[in-house]
Amino acid sequence: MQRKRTPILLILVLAISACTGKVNTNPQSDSLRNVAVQVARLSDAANAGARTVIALGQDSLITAPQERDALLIIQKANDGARVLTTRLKAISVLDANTKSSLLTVVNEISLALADPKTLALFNVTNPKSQERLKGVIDIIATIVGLLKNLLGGN
Amino acid sequence: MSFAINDWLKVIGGLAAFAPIPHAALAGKLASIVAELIDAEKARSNKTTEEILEAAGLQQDVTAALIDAELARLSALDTQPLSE
Repeated sequence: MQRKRTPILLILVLAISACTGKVNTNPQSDSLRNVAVQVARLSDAANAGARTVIALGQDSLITAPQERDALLIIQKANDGARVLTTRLKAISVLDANTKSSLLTVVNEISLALADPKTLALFNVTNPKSQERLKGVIDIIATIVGLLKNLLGGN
Repeated sequence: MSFAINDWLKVIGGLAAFAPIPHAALAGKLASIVAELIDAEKARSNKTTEEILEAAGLQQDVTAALIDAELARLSALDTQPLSE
């Protein structure tokens, strides 16, 4: 049973280690850069997640409605990352007001991840598909959690 | 010449498409995706904040187009007559 889980666990571990790995930072704009890095990771996760879900659909490991629901959630995360990117491009200092404004967007992504449709995705009957879908959502949720920490939301 | 894990993942990803094993192509695609995530992470360490945000913006556009196209394909399947 454990052996069957190895591939997806490997993917999860690699992806999460990529998401939490250290990045060289400029001391003068540490917090801004750290938030930018997490937003970039969120964009990567949304892209990787969308491609994984489409691949699962192509292999008929999930149904078309499940694929659509998963893509709609990932779309919300991607749209949120886009808003965050646009706002970050327009600022040079990460003050309390800016953090609060960015946190509102991050919380909206969080709400989408906690939507009953998201939770319903984990009821997919094929255990491997269930693990992969959960992996996609978990990676996005992990990065959203890190963003909340950086913005003082937790 | 030394191979990093992401290089191996790319090789596995490329070869898996030709393997006569069920879902091998899927495993290959997933391996390629992980390799790209590692590449993206490495590339970020040498970029400025502006460059990171610029690259993220481009990535978001690609993802949005990918999702829109797939959602449109799924909608078209819904509206296809059953006789086809």
